[in-house]
Amino acid sequence: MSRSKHTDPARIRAPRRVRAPHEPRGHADPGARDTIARALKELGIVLAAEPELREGHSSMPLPRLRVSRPRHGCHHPAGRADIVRVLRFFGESYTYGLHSIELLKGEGAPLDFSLGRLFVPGRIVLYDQPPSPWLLAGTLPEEEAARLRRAGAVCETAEDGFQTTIAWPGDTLREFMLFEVLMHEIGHHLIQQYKGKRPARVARTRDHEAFAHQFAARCRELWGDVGFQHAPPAVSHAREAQEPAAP
Amino acid sequence: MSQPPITLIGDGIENPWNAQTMIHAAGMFGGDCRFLDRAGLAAAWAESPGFGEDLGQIEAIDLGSHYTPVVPLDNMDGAASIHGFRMPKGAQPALVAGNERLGISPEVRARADAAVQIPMVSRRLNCLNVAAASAVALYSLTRGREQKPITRARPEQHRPELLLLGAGQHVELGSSIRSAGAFGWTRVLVEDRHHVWFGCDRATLSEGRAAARRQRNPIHLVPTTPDRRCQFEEVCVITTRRVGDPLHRANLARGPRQLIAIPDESAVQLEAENWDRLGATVRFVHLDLPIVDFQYHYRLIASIALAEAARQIGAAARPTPGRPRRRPVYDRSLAVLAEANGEVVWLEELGSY
Repeated sequence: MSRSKHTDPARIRAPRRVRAPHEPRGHADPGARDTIARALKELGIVLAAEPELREGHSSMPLPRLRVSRPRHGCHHPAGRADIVRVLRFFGESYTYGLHSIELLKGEGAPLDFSLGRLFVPGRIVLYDQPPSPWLLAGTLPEEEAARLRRAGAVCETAEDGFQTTIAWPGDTLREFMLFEVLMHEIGHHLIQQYKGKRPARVARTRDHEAFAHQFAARCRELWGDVGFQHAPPAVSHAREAQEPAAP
Repeated sequence: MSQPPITLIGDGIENPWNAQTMIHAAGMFGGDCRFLDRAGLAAAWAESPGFGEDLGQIEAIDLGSHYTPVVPLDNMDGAASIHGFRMPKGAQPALVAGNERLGISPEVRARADAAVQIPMVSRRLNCLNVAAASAVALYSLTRGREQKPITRARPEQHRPELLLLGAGQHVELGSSIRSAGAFGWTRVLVEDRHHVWFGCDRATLSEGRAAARRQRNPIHLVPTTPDRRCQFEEVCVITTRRVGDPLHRANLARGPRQLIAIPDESAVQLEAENWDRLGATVRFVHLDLPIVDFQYHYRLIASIALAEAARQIGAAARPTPGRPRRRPVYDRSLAVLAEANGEVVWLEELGSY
């Protein structure tokens, strides 16, 4: 059975391309390497096996991380180190095609809750946030409120739905920003990245959003019990569990 | 040298109540009001009881000879924004406000030296109540170039919450809500302590809501009560008394942390109100009108304040032609739903105010 070298599964292609983004497509092709090894073996030369390219290795190149000073009274709940740890945990399949992740000042008033944004192709922005508790004018949609509660937030809506208070105990806001915002935007990115890389919408916005929410929830499950208080898990464990999220 | 007061001219006005309010609006700025009667206004005025003022009439043919310059207030092609507009020099300036449905007559247009319009945000409601529009225009024209239009990337992030407090008359409140909708508010808090909007009798209700509910673009009216406590960072109370900052100097575009409260001073005692219940900092903002003693109309005061707030909130910049197509952007933000209770009013319903 013949197979084009360009149709490697994403879990193979992503690490290769992330590590050598400027090499031609056939670079480090295992097929070519095997051909040479067989010819040398006939001559009595046996090559030592190359170490397997593992996802999430500490040598894994990361997208550019840029941190701006937050606005007065605001902060970045998830810092550079947190983002690096999460990206390494999930590996190249999730960062393939990402150009940059930026922690920026929010554009609006501090109580306008813009959390993050993906600029296609490959630029993710996470905005600074006011400290807990957040005060929102009005009521949150039920799914959004459920998502916040799953992330550990305490949501209280006034009886008449006039105002909603969202409190973030402990590290919950950091994890919320990492999974419900960063990984959510990475979910959007993966749809674009693995469907033609076109700088145009490749799915209806509703489907895009549904996938991104699902993707973020799945990432949180994969992260599982590995909290920030523990050491990061062995990379191979993470790799076993993560099939590249083909949209 | 001070500018002569602007004369307000109503062109084809049909409703005598609107005509009376226009007279009062002109009086707020020290000017007179005249009418070009095309739709039987004089007859309706004579039949309506309780109108003490004289309905000053003028013929279209005399317009050019009596007034210079003549500036129509109409959203016609080529009309300049009222914000930052400077009235052309002349001995007796006149502002012509037309019929809400029919606009300015071609006869007046032909005699116009310039034209102005009030920029609005709503795509469905393209005009205010004629008296409210007149008051807004007169306020802007008397301020001249102090009021320049503002352009922002994301104007909606600067829109404060709005509270219409204690209105004593349902038509005044309806017109104010109509102005709020036209200037882009999609949610208004209404403290209806005189029961002129929520839970009023059938006649008032039907007069208030008027037309059938249809189309889209609703405005959410959220009922509040005097005992409700809110947590806004700043509350701006709009008043006609000369306390606090003048309207054009106050920052009314601080976003949802700010509440603009507009009390009906004909029905609410400012001193007796507990303003601290609304937020941490309370600031009084006055309209800075040239005349101190005038006939109070809630819709006029509210519309002037809302127009100034809308100016400060600004408008989004128009995309330049030939700009490359925007690439997709996916936002993650917390969207807030409308309130579970309250009332949805379609802007079309407010068309008759």
